[in-house]
Amino acid sequence: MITIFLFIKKCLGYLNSNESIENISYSLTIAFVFALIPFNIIIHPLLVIFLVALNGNALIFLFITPILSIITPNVYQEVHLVGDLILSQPSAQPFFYKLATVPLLGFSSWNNTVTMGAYAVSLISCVPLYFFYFFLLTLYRRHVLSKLKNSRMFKWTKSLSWMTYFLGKK
Amino acid sequence: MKYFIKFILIFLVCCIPTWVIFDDVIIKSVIIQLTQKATKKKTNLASVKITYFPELSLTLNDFQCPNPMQQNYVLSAKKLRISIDASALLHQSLVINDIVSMDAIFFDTSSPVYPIKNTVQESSEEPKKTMSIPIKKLVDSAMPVISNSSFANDMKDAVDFSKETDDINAIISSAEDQILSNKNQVLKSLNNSFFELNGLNVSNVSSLDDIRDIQKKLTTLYEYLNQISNKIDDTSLIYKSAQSDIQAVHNEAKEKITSSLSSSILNQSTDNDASISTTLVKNTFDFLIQKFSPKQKKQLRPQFKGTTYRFQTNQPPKFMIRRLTINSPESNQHINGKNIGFGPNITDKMNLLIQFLNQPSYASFLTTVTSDNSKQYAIQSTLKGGRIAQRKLFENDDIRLNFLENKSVSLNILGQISKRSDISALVDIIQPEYRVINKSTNKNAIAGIVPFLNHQDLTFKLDFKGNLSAYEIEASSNLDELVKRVQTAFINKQMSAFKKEQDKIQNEMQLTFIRQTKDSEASFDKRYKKDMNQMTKQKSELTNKLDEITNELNDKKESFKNNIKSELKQSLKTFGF
Repeated sequence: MITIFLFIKKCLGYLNSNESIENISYSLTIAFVFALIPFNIIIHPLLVIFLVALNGNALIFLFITPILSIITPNVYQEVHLVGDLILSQPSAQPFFYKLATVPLLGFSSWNNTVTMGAYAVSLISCVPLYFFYFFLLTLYRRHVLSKLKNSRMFKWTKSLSWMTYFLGKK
Repeated sequence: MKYFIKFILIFLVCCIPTWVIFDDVIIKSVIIQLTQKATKKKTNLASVKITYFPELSLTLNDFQCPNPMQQNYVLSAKKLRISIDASALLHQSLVINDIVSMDAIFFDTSSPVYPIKNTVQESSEEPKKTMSIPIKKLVDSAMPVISNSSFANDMKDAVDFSKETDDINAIISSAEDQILSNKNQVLKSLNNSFFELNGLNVSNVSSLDDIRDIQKKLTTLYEYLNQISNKIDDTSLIYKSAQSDIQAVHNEAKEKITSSLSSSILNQSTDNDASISTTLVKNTFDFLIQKFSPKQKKQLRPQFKGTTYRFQTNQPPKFMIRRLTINSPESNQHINGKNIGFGPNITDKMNLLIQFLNQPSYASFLTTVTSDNSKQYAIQSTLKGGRIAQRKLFENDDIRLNFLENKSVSLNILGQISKRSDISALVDIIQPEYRVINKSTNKNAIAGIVPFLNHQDLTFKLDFKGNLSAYEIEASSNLDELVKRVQTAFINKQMSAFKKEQDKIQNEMQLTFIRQTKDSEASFDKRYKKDMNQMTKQKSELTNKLDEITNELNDKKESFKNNIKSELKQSLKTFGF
């Protein structure tokens, strides 16, 4: 219960921070892609480089990625269907045969149905997802944050900042 | 975008020199970590030298890879050079062009091996399986356990004499009742007879009528006496009949003891028809497979992995060593190989030669593995002068059975390894010796059998078909024949000793039974003799008394006769005759 409370408090802390909405949305999108694609040594380091290079918030990314990593394996069956649909396309077979000869690309496991499905889903959904996060965060900061700041609950959580220290979590 | 490119460039400029400077330290650490994880023992590696041009190669200096099974280093090399095909690495393949070491030592014991202390405790739920378990099962099944002492104790407890004791008690009781009844009748008759007899007074006899009366009474008394004598004889017959019945029960008990002993021997000598060699080989093989098969990690929730498509027709092999040279062909330990690899897409012919000579564990070991298609590997292996160190074969509370050191083991393996392997192995152990160490004073059958096994050559033949997850084993050996021969010889010897023991046990049991019925039988005898004495004594008294009265009566009769005669003569004289 205390962990959930601290988790909510942390979330609110990030959302209410001075970080721009764009950066938070971008970090959340990268975190989603990072969590959705099964780990490989090509894409995941690239995603981290992208995050840092494009000025993403590493703290938000590090906070949200483990949570998403717990959730995303539940949709692997659906992602596999997408990947299977792509990899079994007869018209794309010559292209895949050529792709298989490209050095280093094998490490990205693109020929795996789950990974290919995850790439496809990530490519298709990353831009809408970014704007979806952006929209939600804008709504939150415009309408919810002011009300939240005046709420008794918010003040109470602020007053309990010593609790995090007491529990050994900063 | 400009910022992004700048970042990537800075990243690369920082990373590449860092890697080039610290590559040997990183690779050394990786090699040590991986080897230690696999062997659970400390790996020694002094330094690693990496060259990138003209080819990617690693040179390991003072490398010692520990043996996970024994206290030695599987490979100890001052310098080991590994050159790798860098282009294959880009295609997720590890193709090693060359492994060369000219000063390598296999199974090196020159320096001590240190185990790594694991912080994570391995689960101790499963019992630790050792080689002695299949051997113990074999010994248990092969040895006919005829232990005289334990057998005798078991037998003594097993035979129950309560029925026989009850039978004897019933016979005695019935006989005693009959004897008592006879005795009462006899005593009553005797009393009556004595009473009658005391009433007879021969001195008062004054007439012939008196004599006739007494004569009549005496006749009756003699009849009584005959009846008494018959009763006494009848009592004697009852006693004799009871004695013969008791003897019959004793014989029954004896028969029971003998039959119990015989059936126990039969039960002990007729068991286990299963082939010992098959059992031994199967047990040993199962043990080895369980021990060396990779343990699957338990996953709480198995993650869905999807399907991996194969698009590359000329995919390089996942792992391959193009050339392997360890030491020169003249040295005692030499390995030479070409195109060693597993899996598809290996087109070159594979050759592997392993040659170890004059080793502490054997005189020579030669193995060749060849393959044309990397799917089927033909294997031919020969080991000569193999040494089996002294080892414990079997141990229980009474004995310990040791296999003494043997240096004449030969091994021949021939066959092909594939998804459906077919391998034939032949092991000969020439003139093996065993020693039994007695731990207690109890006699044990194994101690008696082992001298028959000494210097009997052992031959095992094993045909393996299948793979490690599903295999068929056909094993044959001279072990069955040998054990049967030894069993026969041992049982013959044991049986003569056992016969003596059986007689002894039989006597002891007989005595036990006799002891149980001795008191009742003795008291029965005593009572019978007392009663018989009493009856016979009184009968003889009666007889004497009767005889005495009869004599007196006869005298009286005689005197009467004389008196009558004299009176008759006088009367006749008076009448003038």
